[in-house]
Amino acid sequence: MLVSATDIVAGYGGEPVLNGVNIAIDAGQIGVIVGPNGAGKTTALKSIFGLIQPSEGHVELAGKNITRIPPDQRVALGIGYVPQEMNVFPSLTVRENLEMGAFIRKDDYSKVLDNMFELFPPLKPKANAAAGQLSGGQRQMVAIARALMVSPQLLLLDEPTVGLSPAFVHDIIDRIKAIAASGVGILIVEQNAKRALSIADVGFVLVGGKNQFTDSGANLLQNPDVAKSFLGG
Amino acid sequence: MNELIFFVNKVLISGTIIGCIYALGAIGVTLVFGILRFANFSHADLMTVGAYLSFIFAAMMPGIGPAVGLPSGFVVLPISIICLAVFAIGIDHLFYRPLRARNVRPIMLLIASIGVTLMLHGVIRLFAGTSSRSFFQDEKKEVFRIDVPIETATRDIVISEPQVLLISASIVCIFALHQFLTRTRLGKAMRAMSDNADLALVSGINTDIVVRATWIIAGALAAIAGTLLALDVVLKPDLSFNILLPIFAAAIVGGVGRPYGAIAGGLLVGFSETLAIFNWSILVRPVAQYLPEWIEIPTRLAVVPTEYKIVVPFVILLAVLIWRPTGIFRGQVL
Repeated sequence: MLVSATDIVAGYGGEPVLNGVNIAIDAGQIGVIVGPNGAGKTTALKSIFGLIQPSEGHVELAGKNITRIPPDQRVALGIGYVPQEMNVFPSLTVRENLEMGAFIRKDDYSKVLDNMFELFPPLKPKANAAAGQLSGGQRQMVAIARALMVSPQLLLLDEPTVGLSPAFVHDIIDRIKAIAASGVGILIVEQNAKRALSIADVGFVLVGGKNQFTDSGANLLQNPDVAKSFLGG
Repeated sequence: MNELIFFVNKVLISGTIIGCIYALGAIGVTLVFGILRFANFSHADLMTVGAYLSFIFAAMMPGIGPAVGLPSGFVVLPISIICLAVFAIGIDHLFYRPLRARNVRPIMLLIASIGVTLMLHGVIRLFAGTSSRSFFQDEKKEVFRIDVPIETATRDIVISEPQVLLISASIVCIFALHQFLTRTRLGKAMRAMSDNADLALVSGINTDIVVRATWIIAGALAAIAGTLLALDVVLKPDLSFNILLPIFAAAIVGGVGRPYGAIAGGLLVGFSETLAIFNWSILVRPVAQYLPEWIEIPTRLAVVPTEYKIVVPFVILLAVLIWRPTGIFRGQVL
């Protein structure tokens, strides 16, 4: 397994939000975390990145226990994280945003930078524009590209398509598939369960801070119980 | 013509001088706010400490100034810059960092900075006394008199050497800062952290290094501004505490967290002050003979009397807070 979070119990002080969640994916896989509001989807993602310290359970990256490692050091270990909101530096240019993603790199990353503009062609003409002036979809591309600048093994995306126009949603999903095809493991938190499960190698349906169902995306889509409760019939 | 030269001396030159001082101070305040999210009230006293450091170094090395043909206080400035940068980092380690580690609200840091300012104030008086001193006890303050080649002009444009140094140093500082913020990795990281500190952390930016760089720049700018201000006027314990409020007004008017805004804000506040206390009757006098007799020009015709010039930054500050709280360059709201 590339990443595995085992029996995670975590919260923000007070009642835990997660009560023993298990999430694991392999390199090159797309894992999708779905579930109703308040199920702990974002909390699970934050626990894996280390923004929240689990009170129980452990997180492993490529067999190494990283539960106690702070988030900024997890970036160096190869985890890219894209928060749901405010995920670009608005007054920095697109290029500068990507450079900030590569802050910890000591090597020459100009090739990675070029690759990002190939992966997200709409960003190329905007390279020197302030990220704050871009459209929502372009901004999301900047955010994902920024996280990819460390050439991570694992990419964590918190609702990457929320608030985007359908054309952009399609675009972003295509890009996500391409990134996974290059061998990066991707974990996505999604509100739109049907759409997300259709691209998922593994789906994790969380309810009340626990795994309700864990199966391949295709199986979950066909599972009548899942369909009834989460996919709107 | 003499009236115009008077205007140049009293408004253009004075306004630029005081505007540069405010701008240098406001950049320091605005950078610290952008990165650490608190209004650093101790910045003005940091400037005073810098001026005293320069005074001590100049006294320790008499003759260093005349050797290169510049005021000694200016020649030793690089040493003061290094010392004050280290001093600023030391203060952060002693007071602000422990508070940040406990995740206190920004208002606590602000209060702490008021404590620091009172402490610095006391320390300066303890060691240097309350009297004012001059950098030019044994040296001559050079004053340039520029002759205006017009027949009716009998007065000269007057500017002193420290003033020329101040204006040139400000231009160099602003240019260097711009290059640093837009060209270097650390400078960009500073802007990134000012934009979105949480995202900077999850991007893997080492925020400790950014914080340290911020204090180094704030300290360096404070040493430059404090020393040049003391060279222009005199060195006294409340040298820059007196201009704390105009500096804050400049930072807020420019847009908090925006270094370029601080420059604009500094010049705006500086020029407003000099324009407000300028005696306009001198400019009006030449046209007096063409005015009807019943108009009598008073000998003083200023917007505010000199002793009330501190109200000018307040009026600007109030106007900005009411009509455009984010400042000219759309910074953060305090």
